[in-house]
Amino acid sequence: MKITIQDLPEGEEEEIIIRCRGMDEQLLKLVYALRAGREKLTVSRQERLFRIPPSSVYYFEAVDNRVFAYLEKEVYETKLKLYELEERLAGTDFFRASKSTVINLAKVESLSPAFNGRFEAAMKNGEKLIVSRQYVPVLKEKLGL
Amino acid sequence: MRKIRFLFNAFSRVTACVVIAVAVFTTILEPTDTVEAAVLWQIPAVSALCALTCLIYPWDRTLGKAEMGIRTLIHYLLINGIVLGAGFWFHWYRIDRIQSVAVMLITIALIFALVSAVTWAQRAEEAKQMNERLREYQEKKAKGEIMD
Repeated sequence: MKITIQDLPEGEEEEIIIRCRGMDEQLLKLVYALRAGREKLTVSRQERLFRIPPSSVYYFEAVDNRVFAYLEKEVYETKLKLYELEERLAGTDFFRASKSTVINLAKVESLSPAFNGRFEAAMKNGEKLIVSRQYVPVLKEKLGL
Repeated sequence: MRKIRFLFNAFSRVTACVVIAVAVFTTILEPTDTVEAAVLWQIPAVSALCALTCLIYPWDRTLGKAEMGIRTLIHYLLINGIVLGAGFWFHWYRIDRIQSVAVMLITIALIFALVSAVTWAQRAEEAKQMNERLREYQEKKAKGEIMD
């Protein structure tokens, strides 16, 4: 595939044009990744709003109808529901790990078996999360297994 | 579909271990010259019931250590109930002989441990493969072959 990068004059809007004979899975992933890479999430903490790149999030967790974004050390709240985040971050590093969590695969240090068909994901910040057996196939698919 | 596949895997593991247990039981512990043909149906029937008890663990919810411990204990007791009940019904042992009941209880414990060990070994192998893929995935990402 040929990749062309052109310098733009000041003031002109940046644009990515994909010239192809049809959208295959790889191209779709690329489009999702481009969208997600540029997109920022609006989150809040102590009544202040922040815009953060999704790639900085380790995982999202739903607790009592509220959804929190866990970064390396900080925790923010997002107004998006877990399924909305899942849809918005489809094709990126994020995957549904249980009914209440969406995990960033890029922030997983290692995986180990847990009781009863589940797996434990050790995160790079030291936290440990459970991948419930319902979502283990999703994780395997993401890893190409 | 995933649940059915999971139950079928559990059923296969339990059946394999029960067959081994019956072989040990009928050749070493209580040697017999013949085994009734009916046992060929009794084994899968009891194994299927035992596999169904795996549903005691919630499918899509994470469990704390205490709840997991309690559910494992209930699971173990249920299996004891099913095997002892079926064994009594199918005349696998003599309920009036303590030694016979004790052999059954030990056999159940050994099969439970064996199935758990086999399952754990399979999961450990899966985890190893997943960790290899995870490393490859993250290396590709670091090289920029996979975008954020």
